[in-house]
Amino acid sequence: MSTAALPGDWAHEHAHADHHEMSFLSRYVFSTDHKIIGIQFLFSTLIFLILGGLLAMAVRWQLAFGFSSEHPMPIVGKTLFAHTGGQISPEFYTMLFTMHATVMIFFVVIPMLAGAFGNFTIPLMIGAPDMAFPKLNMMSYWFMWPAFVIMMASFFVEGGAAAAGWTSYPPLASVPQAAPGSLTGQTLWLLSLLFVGVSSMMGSLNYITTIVNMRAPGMHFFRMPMTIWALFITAILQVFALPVLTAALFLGVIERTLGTSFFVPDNLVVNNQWAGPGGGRALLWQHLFWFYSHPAVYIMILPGMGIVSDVIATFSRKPLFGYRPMVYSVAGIAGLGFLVWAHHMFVSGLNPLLAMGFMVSTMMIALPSAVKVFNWLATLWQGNVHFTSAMLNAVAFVSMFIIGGLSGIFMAATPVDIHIHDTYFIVGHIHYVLFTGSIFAIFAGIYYWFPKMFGRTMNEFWGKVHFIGTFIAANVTFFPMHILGVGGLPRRYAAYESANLAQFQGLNTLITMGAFTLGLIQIIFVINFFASLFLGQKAGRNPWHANTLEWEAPSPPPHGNFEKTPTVYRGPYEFASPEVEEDYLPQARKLEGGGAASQHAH
Amino acid sequence: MMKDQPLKTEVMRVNVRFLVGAVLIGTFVLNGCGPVPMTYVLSDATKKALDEPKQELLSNALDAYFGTPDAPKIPEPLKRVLKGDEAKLAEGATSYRRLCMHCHGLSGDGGGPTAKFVLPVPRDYRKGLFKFTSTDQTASPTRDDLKRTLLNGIPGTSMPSFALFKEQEVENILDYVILLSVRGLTEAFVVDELETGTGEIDAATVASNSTAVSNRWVGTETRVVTPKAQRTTPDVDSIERGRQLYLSDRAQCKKCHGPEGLGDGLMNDPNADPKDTKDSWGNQARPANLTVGVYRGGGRPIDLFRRIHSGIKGTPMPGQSTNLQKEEEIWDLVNYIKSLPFKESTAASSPGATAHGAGGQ
Amino acid sequence: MQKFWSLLFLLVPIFSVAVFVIAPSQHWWLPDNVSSYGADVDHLFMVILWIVTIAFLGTQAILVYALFQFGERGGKAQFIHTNHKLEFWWTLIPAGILVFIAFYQFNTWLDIKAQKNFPKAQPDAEVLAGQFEWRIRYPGTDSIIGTEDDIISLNNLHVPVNEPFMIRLRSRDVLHSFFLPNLRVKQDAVPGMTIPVWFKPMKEGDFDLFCAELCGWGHYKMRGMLTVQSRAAYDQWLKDQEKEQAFTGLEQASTDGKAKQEVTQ
Repeated sequence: MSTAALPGDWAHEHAHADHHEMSFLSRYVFSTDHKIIGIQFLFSTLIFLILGGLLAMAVRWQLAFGFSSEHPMPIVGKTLFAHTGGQISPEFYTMLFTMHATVMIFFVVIPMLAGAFGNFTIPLMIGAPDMAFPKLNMMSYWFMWPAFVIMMASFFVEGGAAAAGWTSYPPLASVPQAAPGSLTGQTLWLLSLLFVGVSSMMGSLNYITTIVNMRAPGMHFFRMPMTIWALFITAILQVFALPVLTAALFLGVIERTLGTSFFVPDNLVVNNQWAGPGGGRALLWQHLFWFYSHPAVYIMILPGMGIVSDVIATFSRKPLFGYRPMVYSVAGIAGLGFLVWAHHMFVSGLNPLLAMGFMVSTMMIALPSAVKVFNWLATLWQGNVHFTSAMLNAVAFVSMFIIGGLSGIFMAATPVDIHIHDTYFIVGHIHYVLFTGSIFAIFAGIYYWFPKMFGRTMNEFWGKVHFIGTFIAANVTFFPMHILGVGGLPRRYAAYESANLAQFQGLNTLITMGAFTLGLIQIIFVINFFASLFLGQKAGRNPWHANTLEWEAPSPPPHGNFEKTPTVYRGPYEFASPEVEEDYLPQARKLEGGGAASQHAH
Repeated sequence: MMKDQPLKTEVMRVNVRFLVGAVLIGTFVLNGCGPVPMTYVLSDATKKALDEPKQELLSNALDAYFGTPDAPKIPEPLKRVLKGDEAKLAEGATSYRRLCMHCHGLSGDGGGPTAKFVLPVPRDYRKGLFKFTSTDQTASPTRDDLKRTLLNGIPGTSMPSFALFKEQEVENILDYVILLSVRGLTEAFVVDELETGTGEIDAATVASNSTAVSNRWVGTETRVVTPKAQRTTPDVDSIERGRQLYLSDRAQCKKCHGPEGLGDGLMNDPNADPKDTKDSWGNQARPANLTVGVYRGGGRPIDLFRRIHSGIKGTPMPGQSTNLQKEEEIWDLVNYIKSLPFKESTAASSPGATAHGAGGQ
Repeated sequence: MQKFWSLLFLLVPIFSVAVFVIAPSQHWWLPDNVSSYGADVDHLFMVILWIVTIAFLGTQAILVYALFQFGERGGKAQFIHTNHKLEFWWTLIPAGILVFIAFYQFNTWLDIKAQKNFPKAQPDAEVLAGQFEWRIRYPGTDSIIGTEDDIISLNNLHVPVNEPFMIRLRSRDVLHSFFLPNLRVKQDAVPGMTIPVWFKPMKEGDFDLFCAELCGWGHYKMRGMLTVQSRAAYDQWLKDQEKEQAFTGLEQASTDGKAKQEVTQ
């Protein structure tokens, strides 16, 4: 691939063009600067992280105490269920876990990784002054706001928020009388996600165009850091997968408003009311939904993997091991990610022969993930490892992803999946990859790029305290879920009535204690984050002595990012290079005597 | 390279202040935790009839007599009706809250949080009326009737079967449900007496009315409807006779259930608005679709016999025991009805029809 | 300090393995298997468990050791970008293992789910899932499901021991899933579809039937019971049900209020 097409010093030109006075609104609210937009995404998603976490804590309370007036749900019990002695109702529980997952997936992990980190890091790391389409970028953030508002509004409509699971399978989700959340709440859910999809689409188009067209001179594709590769490939994933979700959501909306029957079979009677003429297929939704949602889970992990690669290389003071295999693995995961969707449907009524095909493809997708794990380990090996908060979270990602990835192999095996499908084994797997995976990567990214974003570092001591607490609490919370699943405990149950499952109640209580501890410990992170904004130690350009281009810019970078467009001479991981005395060699540093032709540049 | 911040002390101090703030907020928030008081509520009719001070008087009197959700009592007149002691009743109350309250409400008023989302709505016990009983038209149910409902559920509704629970737990819940029912009807009777000037809100009035209500539950076994005639063999003739009876003006079945038994009688009647036909709880009465093969009160021949003979209490479904004095006629009707799900129906695909193919569900 | 961090990460394999080692003794493990193909399923589970445990311990050991040995080492790290041989082998070997695991599942999967492998074609009962109950129908003496002599059972599926039993799974409203943990059976009940499911119980007793696909507020309540009994007892039970279903109020031994109750636990 060629280098960036625009001539040399556009950063300088850009800076000159922008001398007009900007109001507070246009500078900080309706900004077209990718950094501000990225930070807007960051703050918004942090707020939703708190909401999603509170919903999780409500779920865990119910699972620890069941339906009992002795331990009514705090706050919720007193305000919403005073007439039943504080005891929640079963349909409320179905809403809790539905909205927990929905908020975490669509309003936290995806916008955090793609929206916050994607926006902030891409132009900086490729040496561009901003995104290719700054106004489109701004719209991609502001399109999230209708999504936020609609989703929050859904809590207050008749019947409450959607309650058919984040997977929203019809007929439960399509037929209004099937569940209270399937009245207006479900329609609002669908509309909200349509906005999220549009926002993601705008962002993805921007990222792809920017990365292809606006790399600084010398920034060949194979000199881009893994964060950028991961965000690039994730953006391509989004672009191909989102239209299918949008179609499915749209079909869902007209199903509920215009009386179509794509998903509802003939002559169903649900809750003693006729569900319409039908003619549809329940499985159609599952195919459409999972065709997007499986790539979605890779959208939720790949940027994290990219971030982890960069953080581990930086703090091992050593080149990333196997850079090209790492890039190909990310591409492999993304590509294979389109071929595995029906592994969510092994017992759904799908043709068993088809299931076998999906089993093979699902097994194979473990391969590039394994290759990545090996390469991270090899990066640490013979390194000079520095234990900063960012690094601890990144290493924890690797350790935890091993668990999350290996547990996936059980689920990929169709006969074993017969037993563990829709049990807590799945819930354990999900949370290992999404919490101890993506969220740890997000923490690593925040600690790592906070200095660049705000010009100050976060407090390292409290960062480590937060890490230890989160690491231990997360494992106590999510590991026993695998055991519950092996024991056959179904997921999405508000209580376990069978005497044969009574011996698992202690584990459920333990998990709840872990979950509450986990939630409370995040307060430390929140305080650290906000306090450091004002009181953190001021950071220079390159506090971590890293190699990638964002560290060439001031902290925080001005509008236009670089005083002068950088030129790239080598790959992003030239740590411990013998060419220089320091243990790092930035991409943009020119060495006397032909640095551009360095043999180790990729 | 990664040195400790010189501002560490200041940052830690601020962090500590924030932590203290968080703890204070947390304490405030935690006030939303803790037990929520549980009190029975009075019925809407009572609240309309009485002013606030009288409502409180009545609540206190009822609580003193029947106990509270946490500590229910067995008043003297109910001792003959309930099976267990107060300890078992308290356990029944706990089980009820765990398993039943979200539909049937804390006070047995059919107004739990889930109630507005299920069709038909959950039973309000406080009128002492139960739909599916083995007793005659004016009698209260037997205890076994209620137990059958608990064990079988009510097919075709959201009332599930509780057969998988321990028998003792089922008995405890039964006791508690009867208590709630008696409490509710006693409350209504006391309010009646107050309105007609024949009583005051005091312990004596509560006790006397409670006795009257409890007595309705005594001796119901003698009121069980048991046919004397054997069931007629369900041959073609019996079924045809049953069909004629069904369509006749004597039995008037088709008026509500429709000529084909689809439950669409009122819908197709130009003089009737289906919404105006209500049951004793004020809900729209929906005549059953008899072609589905699912019978809420049970599908045994005796169950259908009893439905036709004594009607369904609290609903416009009348007892036919005066119209159809011959038991053989009722058996013919039973045979016809039981044949309906297996008959080829011409109108099976209309919106009123809920049959899921021949053979019903 | 790096010793502390590597020890913290060491807790992961220790804790994980400990949980799996302790679990069976606490009865936090696979439910007792009483089905003919359950042993195959469990075997596959254990094979995968061993393989992933080895992979897990290997990778975690390297991680912990790397942190221990190379933490705050000082000086410059090793300047190496890749090792082609290593990349090759650590791609090929896991690929081979994964392909092996995948193909190793085929036979068991086909035995359980492929209709051409079903031991019988005629269903012994229909299970109709609905919000929130399992309505079971036996064909009765005419051996056809859907006729007047069908025997209905609510939430309680009786089957004879040591014989393959086939059900016809349907749903009358939303998605449900027929889950028998002790028989390693799970199949979604899809409205608009009739799905055959077979299993062969090898031991008498009462076993859980759970719903395993979110179906509304009563999803957790939708419990049933599988009762496995001798062929004689099963036939007798069917006869008893038939009698109960034909009860006209006049026969002896009125079963009002008692017949359908099965005492459990």
